[in-house]
Amino acid sequence: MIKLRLNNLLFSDVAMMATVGLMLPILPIYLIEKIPDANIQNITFAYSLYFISAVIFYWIYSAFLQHKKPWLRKQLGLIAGSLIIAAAPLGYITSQSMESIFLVQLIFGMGMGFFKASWRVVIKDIIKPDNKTFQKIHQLVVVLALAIAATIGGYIAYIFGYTILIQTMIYIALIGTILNLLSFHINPKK
Amino acid sequence: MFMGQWLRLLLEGEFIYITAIGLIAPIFSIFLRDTIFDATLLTIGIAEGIFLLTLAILRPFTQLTTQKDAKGWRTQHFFWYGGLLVVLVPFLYLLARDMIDIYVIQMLYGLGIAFCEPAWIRMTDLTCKIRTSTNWEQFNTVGTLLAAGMAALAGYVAHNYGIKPLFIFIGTMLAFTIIGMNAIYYKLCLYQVKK
Repeated sequence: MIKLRLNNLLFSDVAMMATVGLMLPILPIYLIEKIPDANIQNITFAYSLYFISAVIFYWIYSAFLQHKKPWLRKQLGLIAGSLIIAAAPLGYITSQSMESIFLVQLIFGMGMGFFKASWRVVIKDIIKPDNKTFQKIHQLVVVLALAIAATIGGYIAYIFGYTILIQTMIYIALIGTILNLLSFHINPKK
Repeated sequence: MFMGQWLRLLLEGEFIYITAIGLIAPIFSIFLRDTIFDATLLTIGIAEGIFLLTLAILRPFTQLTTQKDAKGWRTQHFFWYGGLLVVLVPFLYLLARDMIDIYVIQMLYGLGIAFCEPAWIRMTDLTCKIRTSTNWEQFNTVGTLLAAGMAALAGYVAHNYGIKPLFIFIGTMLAFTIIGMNAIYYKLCLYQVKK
């Protein structure tokens, strides 16, 4: 049972990273092609907004997890984070200006912050913090997923277009959400 | 006091490195689209994939090789060669003519990072051990924020002065950083062992 939860969580993280990895390398080109007021300066700002938002919300949610009913908060954080990540790519399709892209990047980062903060705590409950084997497997699998996602993302955008790419991102994030739901575990004692 | 100064330098060196990487990442695809004639969305994705795949394949081997390196000399050799490759990358981008060149450069970049990583991990572990108030999460947080800030700065520089001067600046900055970090590695990890 624990192994199954661990696998679900590992692959949910892989799914979330793959969602980001599909679009991230070609995001600047997408913005230049689709958004009228995009230039290098505001594209790089949008790019960095995602990371800033992810870090800030990671720490905010980490602090939030330390209060009452952490077992519920961390599992809800996982699901809420992955749902936000699944919904955020829709913003890329609907955005017509760089201001709305900034907002999408902020929301994307918020989802990732919630997800990562909860994921880290849930994993700590299941395995010992000094479990090097899991850490190494996780590190390897995530980098491999990012590598494959970058290539597949480029392929999908080139052959089928950006709309299909964004749909793929949403489906992968939803698979990650389902895996998170499967790993939901009621444990009020912790 | 002596150790504190080296640690501060180490942190600054590492952050300058992250800064340089943060400067390249967001404009890399635009650079390829503007300068390489056969760059498409597909080939840009493949280029990014090659870098990450090389890193994923080599990382376990470099970590395994340096795991039992108690004195740290082997790790330093990895750091020299890896650092050299990383410094060369921004200049090689400027010399690239087609996507095959870019793929090879991406492979070298992955190789360089995989070779440098054991030394960074060793130095960061040591820093966390000496300064208990510092931990890996703080390193990651500050590093990510700095990279994000630098990505925005890169956009400003590229927009106003062009991408090529930016790459030359990044290469020069990386060269100084890697030399400095090698010196710090020597003082922090090897000098202590010798003593």
